[in-house]
Amino acid sequence: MQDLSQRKIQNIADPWANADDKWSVIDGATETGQRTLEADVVIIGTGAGGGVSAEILARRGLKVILIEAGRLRSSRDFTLNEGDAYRELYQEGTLRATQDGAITILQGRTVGGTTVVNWTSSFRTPGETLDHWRDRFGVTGTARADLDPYFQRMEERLGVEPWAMPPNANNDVIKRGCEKLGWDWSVIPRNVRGCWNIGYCGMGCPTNAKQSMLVTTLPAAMDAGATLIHSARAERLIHDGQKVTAVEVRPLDQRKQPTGGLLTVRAPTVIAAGGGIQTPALLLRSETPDPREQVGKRTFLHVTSFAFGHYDEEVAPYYGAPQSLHSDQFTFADGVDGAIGYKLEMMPLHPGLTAALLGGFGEPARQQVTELPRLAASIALLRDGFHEDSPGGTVSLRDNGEPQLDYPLSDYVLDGARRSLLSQVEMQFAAGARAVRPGHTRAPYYDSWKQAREAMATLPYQPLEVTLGSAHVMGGCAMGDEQRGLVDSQGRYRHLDNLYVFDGSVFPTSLGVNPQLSIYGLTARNAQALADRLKPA
Amino acid sequence: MSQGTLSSKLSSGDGVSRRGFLKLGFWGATALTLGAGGAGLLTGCSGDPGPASGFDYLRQKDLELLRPLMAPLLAGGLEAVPGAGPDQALAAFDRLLAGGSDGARGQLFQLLDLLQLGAARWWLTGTWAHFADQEPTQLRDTLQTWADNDGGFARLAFKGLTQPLMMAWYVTPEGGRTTGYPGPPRNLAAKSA
Repeated sequence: MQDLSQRKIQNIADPWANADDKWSVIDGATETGQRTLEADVVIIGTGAGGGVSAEILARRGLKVILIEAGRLRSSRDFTLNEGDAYRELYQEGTLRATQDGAITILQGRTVGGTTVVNWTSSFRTPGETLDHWRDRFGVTGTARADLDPYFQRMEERLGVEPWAMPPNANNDVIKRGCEKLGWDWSVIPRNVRGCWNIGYCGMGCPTNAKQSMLVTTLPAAMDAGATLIHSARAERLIHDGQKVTAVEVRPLDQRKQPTGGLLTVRAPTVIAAGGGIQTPALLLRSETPDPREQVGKRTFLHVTSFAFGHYDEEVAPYYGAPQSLHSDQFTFADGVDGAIGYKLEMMPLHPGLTAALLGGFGEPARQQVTELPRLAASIALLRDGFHEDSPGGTVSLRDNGEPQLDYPLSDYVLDGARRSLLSQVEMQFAAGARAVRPGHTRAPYYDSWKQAREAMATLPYQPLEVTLGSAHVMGGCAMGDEQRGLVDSQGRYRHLDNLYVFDGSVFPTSLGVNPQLSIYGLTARNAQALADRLKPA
Repeated sequence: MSQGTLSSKLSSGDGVSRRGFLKLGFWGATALTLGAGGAGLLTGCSGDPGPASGFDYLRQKDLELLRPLMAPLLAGGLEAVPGAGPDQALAAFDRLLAGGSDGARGQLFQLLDLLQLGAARWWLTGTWAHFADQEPTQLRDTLQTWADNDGGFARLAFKGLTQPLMMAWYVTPEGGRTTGYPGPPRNLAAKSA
């Protein structure tokens, strides 16, 4: 039986160890008064978009201030306990869900954003997706050939390479299942250097092998003189309808409650990089000019379905690189804008998330969760937003200004959920599973593919019946031409002169791949262009 | 007793302001269909007592509501940890809530308030009685009826309550190890949070 619980991790270099001595770091929890700070560029958010922007602009010699709602935590803080991780590093703990409760959303909330907790899969944006953006939304200059140099630059920066070690038993399901069925599969490129292959990407990498923003671009920006304000929520952009003049920032205490302090950050250039959900919410709170009422609209998830395979041999789905193989057999099977396509991957299973996804209660639920060491979990990422019947969701504000995402599940998406569950169940039986259960409240474990296929034909594919989640939020501030884009193809907000959006919220649809490298590459291109305009090299 | 509980709630409902009505949100709007007494209860304007002693978020009435559910919900999951009981699971739930935003927690508390109403329990689970007044076998049936209820709201309420409760227990190191998971490597630099 695999057991890493006695393995010791020590003597890891943490770039944030002496941060207060060498860098300009402001902890919002200690800010109870009012003061004003000034910079050349203020960046709201420190995830994939904010991190890449900060490095490029600070190295150009521009004074950068970064604002982050999450607290600063680094490898010294990552206990690898699930509860600690969800509470400290994720948006709303794990209580974030779409408005009708049907889709649980996992998103990072810490310095480094979701890059600190993602599973490291690093894909270039598919050419089909980029062409669709050009054809349907008038996005320009983002053909695959235009972006490839930026993808390459970020791959080199972040150590992205196809995973060279053998997959863990969980990911081996993709290989065995797809080979037997004659389906496409290949190795996932990961942003790691010296990975220990222990499997805790989702709880904050304790060895700093994962090349998240926390250990790459952000330290580089700090070295170049940037200031980080963490535990501080950008409440709103102060603007006169033409330009943003300042960002109003509310410092937060250890319990995420306002300290009562107020920071006003003034800068001639403002970058929103809070990601899908947070950036649209900031613009809504700020009542930015939005003549076509596009802010927050067309927000997309890779709606994700699940299937659990029970194997005779140990799987230990909690250990080892969490994602190392994938299948694009169905990603563009019906063309770019036909029936919804889906990418097949595996997900790591730790006890808490497993119990939540298996659902149910009492003896049957207990029985299922105690099979964890022999469980494998496949996922399908549904590529939403390409068809006219898939408008995605809408970000709006709760009374207290927090964002919420309404994401009605159309028949188009639910049909994709059904087909993706069938594919996963078939794949897991082909991989040798003894029993397979689709993620559905009414579905038991089935003993054979034949039995499963017949029984699954009668399941109700409805919200809250099908188990759905998502770790990928995109759109809500889409780029496009003058008629269709809230931001232009360089990320400039069309209705305020000095506001830029450099994050996943600019994508006009979902992607069909895990988003991080798409955000890195596009942001590198747009931030580079911005740096050239602000301060030619 | 259960009938009395509802009556006392109905009579204790303070005046509900229009603004309070508008702020009820999803669960509150549902409570309106169960009678104005529910709405009065949900506004919290009759003086919320705050968290129970030793808890950061859960209130005494939440503990009384949820305590009897923990054993039938977690089945052997509690017994597998020596010395663990329902209150430990509730403490874990309280810790999970610490990760939430005010808005996310607010919705959960609206659901918990709703479940204080006999009418809501009857609607969701087919049983009017407070959970504390049901025997363990009866509670299993109550949960099963609720889980089988294919109304959209019942499904949402069932998932909204049971999913975080289950997760809260199994994200604890001691609860997690009862699944066969040996636990994470030891990051010696990290202080336990």
